[in-house]
Amino acid sequence: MPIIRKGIFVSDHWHECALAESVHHHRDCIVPFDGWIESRARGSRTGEAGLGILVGPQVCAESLQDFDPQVQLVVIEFSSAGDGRGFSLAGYVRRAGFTGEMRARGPLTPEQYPHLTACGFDTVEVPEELAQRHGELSWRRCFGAYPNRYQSALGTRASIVQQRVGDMDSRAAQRGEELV
Amino acid sequence: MYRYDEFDHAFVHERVAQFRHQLQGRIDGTLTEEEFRPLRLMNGVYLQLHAYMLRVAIPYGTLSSVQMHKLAELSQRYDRGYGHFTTRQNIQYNWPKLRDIPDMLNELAEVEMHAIQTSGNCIRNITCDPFAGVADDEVEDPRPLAELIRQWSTLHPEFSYLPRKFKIAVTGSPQDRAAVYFHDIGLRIVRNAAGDTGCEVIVGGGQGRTPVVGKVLAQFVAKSKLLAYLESILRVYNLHGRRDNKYKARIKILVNSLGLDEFRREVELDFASPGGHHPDLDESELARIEQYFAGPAYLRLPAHNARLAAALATDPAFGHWYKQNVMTHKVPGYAAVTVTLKNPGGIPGDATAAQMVALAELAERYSFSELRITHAQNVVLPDVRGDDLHRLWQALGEHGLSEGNRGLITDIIACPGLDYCTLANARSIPIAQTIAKQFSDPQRQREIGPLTINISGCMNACGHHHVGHIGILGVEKGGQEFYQITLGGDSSLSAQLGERLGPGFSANEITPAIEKLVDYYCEHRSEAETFLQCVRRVGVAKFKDVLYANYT
Repeated sequence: MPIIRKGIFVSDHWHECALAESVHHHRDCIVPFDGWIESRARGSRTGEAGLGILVGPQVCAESLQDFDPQVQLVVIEFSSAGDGRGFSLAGYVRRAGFTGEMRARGPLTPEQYPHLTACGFDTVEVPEELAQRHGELSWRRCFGAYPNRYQSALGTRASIVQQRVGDMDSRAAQRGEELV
Repeated sequence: MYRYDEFDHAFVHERVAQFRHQLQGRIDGTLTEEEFRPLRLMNGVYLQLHAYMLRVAIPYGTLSSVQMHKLAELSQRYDRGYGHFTTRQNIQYNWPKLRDIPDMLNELAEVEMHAIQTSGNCIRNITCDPFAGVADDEVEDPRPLAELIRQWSTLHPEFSYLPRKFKIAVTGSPQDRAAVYFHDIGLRIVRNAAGDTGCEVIVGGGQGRTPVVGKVLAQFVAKSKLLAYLESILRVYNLHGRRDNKYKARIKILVNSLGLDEFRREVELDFASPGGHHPDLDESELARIEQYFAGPAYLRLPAHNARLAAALATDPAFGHWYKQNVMTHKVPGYAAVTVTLKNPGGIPGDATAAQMVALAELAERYSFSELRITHAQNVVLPDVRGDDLHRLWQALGEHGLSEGNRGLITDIIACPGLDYCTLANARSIPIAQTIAKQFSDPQRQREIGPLTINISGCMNACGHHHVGHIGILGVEKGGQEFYQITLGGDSSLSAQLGERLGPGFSANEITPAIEKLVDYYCEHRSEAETFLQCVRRVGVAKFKDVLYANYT
């Protein structure tokens, strides 16, 4: 399935397999969440390559923590475009301190791209048919949509509120200078 | 009232451009109807029985006269010369062409309005006490918080694809005029022992198929923590609310299935979680918003007005209207006036373009250019001088807007029903019209006293039938419309759901049935007892017996 990064269709090197299988791979592997949790509980190590974790929409949000450095990718699945659980799950992953790549997978539309990036997703993976129908141009156009948002602390840019406060501070500073 | 700054302007204009593009995508086929549907819904565009419908947000029911002029203009340019004010303080246009909607949104953006999130599974328009800022009984003006919540909830990236729609209401008064117990979240501004104001948070109320009175989740949340607390509630709901059945997807179902204590535990766990991205409220931002609501430049006026007193003494019709439609104002010498859109025989909540223009002009002349829309589908001129009231009333009369029936039996709340709506099972409007005509005699209305009749054309309860003193629910049986009656509903602080009396009545039988209930009340009330008080004292069963005596 095509991957979109910064509004551009890119190819992907990740390989999907069961956890047991991943041990024998020298490639980066995406493994199911349940298997990963179990192996962590047993203290058993997987292979040397990078690990990606596949998180379904029903995964218990509180268990999304303690990502060891081997985990370089978290894939959060959306069962449909209207299933918004992934937007909240993403927050748990980021709040747990995960700084690697976070990917949304499912039948998502370019219109949802600004929401996804604001929730901390880096890449989106959509079914082939959808990618073809919407086209790269739509994704690229939506990548830059809504540069300013009202919500704070989601995504990287300062929110409108933060910009307003900054604006007021700088205006106050200017007035201060004029007085001097 | 609130004014957009450059950020707000840029935001709504970007939204319009985005919708124009989405519509283009639908037309050229890159977006399927299934994909387009949630997008148009989140921009207030419904597909109704006969046409598309555009629902425009009137945040917390506050409008400037410039905005009202624009609403009138749009109704003429793009619709059939009228608009419909809804029970959520919005306005709906019933006949726009889909291709015109981006232009309509663009014109709305010019006057700082939009249709963002007036539909869809997201946080809807924030509603509020229509007398906010002018009521003499209020702890604090709820509009700054309502505006803050409006901004925070606008295109919230985490909460735009919720299990179901989500409605928030705010009131600043101990008298509940915003039905806070019947919202997904209701907020009551209260003062704590230390003298600080904050919010009592009520959760899981609602009407629809499963009517529930909301429950108090938190007795006091400081304003600085309010958005963070709301985010925690929304997060628990977004993750755990049911998505398999739309009739069980509202937060009330989640709260009931988890139990209030467990739901609270989940919310507080999230609220307390370290490193949370909770947006602590920036005090300078709230202060910035508050300054817009400082109120107009009131004059120092005597509380007693000789001209008003003289008019009241000599013009009894004016006196009746004054008694019913004029509310005490916090500033001496001023009054808050309700203009009902409830001419008996008319369509509840409908206003023609000419009426909207008249209301805008009268607001300019008499009410500091401001208007409010109420959840009872009426209009309020919030800041009228006592000595202008008589002239205002006369001017309203020229436009068919001087009915003195606020809170009386003809002040009926009704959803659009089967005349417009795809969800409806039965018509609401003709029932409202027939009942209002039957009780149109003003003298009789006054004798009956306060009585609300709320009519919904289906279980979804847009006409708030569960909380009408008399509620009417339209149902369909064997291809015929029937109307079930509930009794004793109440949306105020003594919140209560009406009880269903029994089998439904046909469209022809419903008005005589209402007549029976009202007659029984008039005969059996003790002195000065209102209909609702009487129902509570006598008991619903008694009314039921009367209604179904000789029923076959």
